[in-house]
Amino acid sequence: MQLTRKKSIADALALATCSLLAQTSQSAYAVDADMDLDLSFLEYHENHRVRVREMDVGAKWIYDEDNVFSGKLITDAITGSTPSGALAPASKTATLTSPSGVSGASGTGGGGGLLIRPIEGFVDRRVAINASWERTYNRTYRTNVGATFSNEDDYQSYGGSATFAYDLNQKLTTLEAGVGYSYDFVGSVVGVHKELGNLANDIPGDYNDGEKEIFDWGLSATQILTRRSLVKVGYSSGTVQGYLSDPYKVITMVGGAKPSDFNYFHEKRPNSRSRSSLNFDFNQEREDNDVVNVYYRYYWDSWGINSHTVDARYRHELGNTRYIQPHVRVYRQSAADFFTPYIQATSSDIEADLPQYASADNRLDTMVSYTVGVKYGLSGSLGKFFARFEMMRQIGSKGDYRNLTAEILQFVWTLDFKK
Amino acid sequence: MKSLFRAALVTLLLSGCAELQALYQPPQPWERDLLARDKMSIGGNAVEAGTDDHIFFSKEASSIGRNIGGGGCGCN
Repeated sequence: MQLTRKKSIADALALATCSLLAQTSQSAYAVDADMDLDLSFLEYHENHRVRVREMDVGAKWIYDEDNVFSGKLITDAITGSTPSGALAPASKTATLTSPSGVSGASGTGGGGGLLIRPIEGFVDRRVAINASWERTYNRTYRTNVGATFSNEDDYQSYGGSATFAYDLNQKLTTLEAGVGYSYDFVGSVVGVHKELGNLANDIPGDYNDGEKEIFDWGLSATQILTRRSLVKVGYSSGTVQGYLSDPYKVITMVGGAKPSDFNYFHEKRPNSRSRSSLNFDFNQEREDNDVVNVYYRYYWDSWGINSHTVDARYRHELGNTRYIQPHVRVYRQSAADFFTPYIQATSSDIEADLPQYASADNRLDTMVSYTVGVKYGLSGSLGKFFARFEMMRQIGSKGDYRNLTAEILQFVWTLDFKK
Repeated sequence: MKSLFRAALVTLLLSGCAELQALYQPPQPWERDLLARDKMSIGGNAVEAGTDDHIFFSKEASSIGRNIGGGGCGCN
């Protein structure tokens, strides 16, 4: 029943968006306007794990000098497998669950608990829509209001945002403030079961959706330094509240009645999280027209995670219409306070050994991630085009699946319609 | 030793301020042509930045930074 209601909403919104995009493209020729259309194709591939194919269509319609409308339709399909968080003895495995609908915990062994391995047959689809309206007042103030909707087989998100920007100091300085809010429904094809509940006690059909609210706000200042350089500094903060666990993730308890026992529990994360970040962005064009961009972020949250991100790009011009841009990103994070690859039972009363919170999700582990890539772009009478290839390598500290290698390939074509 | 260290630190800071001042040569309103080009926009290409944000949000624990708002996703 729940799924039927959500599908209806999703279908209605998809239809509404198609109508909106259709109206936008018709009107673009009716007024003295400028319209950009972005077409993007993305292939994301993790070795032996997830594969994502994403197609985006984005439109930016400059209605007049004071009003700009933007819309974007994102569709993607995810296949492959991803770690469930469980430890699995090599000799005994069973399937836990799958977002594709291949469901049902099965298989027993060990000390009477289920034996789980990384989920397989993973298929998920996503459709997301973003729309925004930017309005300028007196060439000095700008507001931007936006709405987002995202629908997956097992997740829905409804959100909105608003930003206010003010130019001063002869437009050398821009101050900006923004807020964002979203309300999300967290589902699972096999249900959202009791957090830290034993999988052996799951009752098929006895579950509900989880829900969560996300509120973010931020302040930033952009300063033009010279004719060829500018810098932006910002502070962002926010809270997330509600069901914040991952319904597909489990955690293993080792030991119990017998040392060889394996029991599996649904993970549990705190139901609130406050987070903040400081950001620094710098752009510099050299005398030879090459552009250097450096970005740094420091992030921290109430789960005990803090991280540093450094991102650098160098755009080298190859004549007037082509360029090549190498890219390097280094990311380092500490682990969440409740991250643990497994729980060690100290008695036969395994329920009594459960901590308040526990997750074996590798994304909450101590991690270093390196990304290197290159982008090639060109422009001509058919618009602008670029292709990029990136490789990402994540190195965690604990668990069998702590390391990850991924490749990213993206093509983007921007068409510019001018009257 | 401490005062020597402080003096060195103050000297460094002052010279740093001087360097920063040299970096700050704001252009006149009619000299904004270079900054107005797409390649000088903070955050880079919006499509590429949106893709990257989504990928890193899905694979890492840090999730706010350059942008406010944006659609939630079940990938994290």
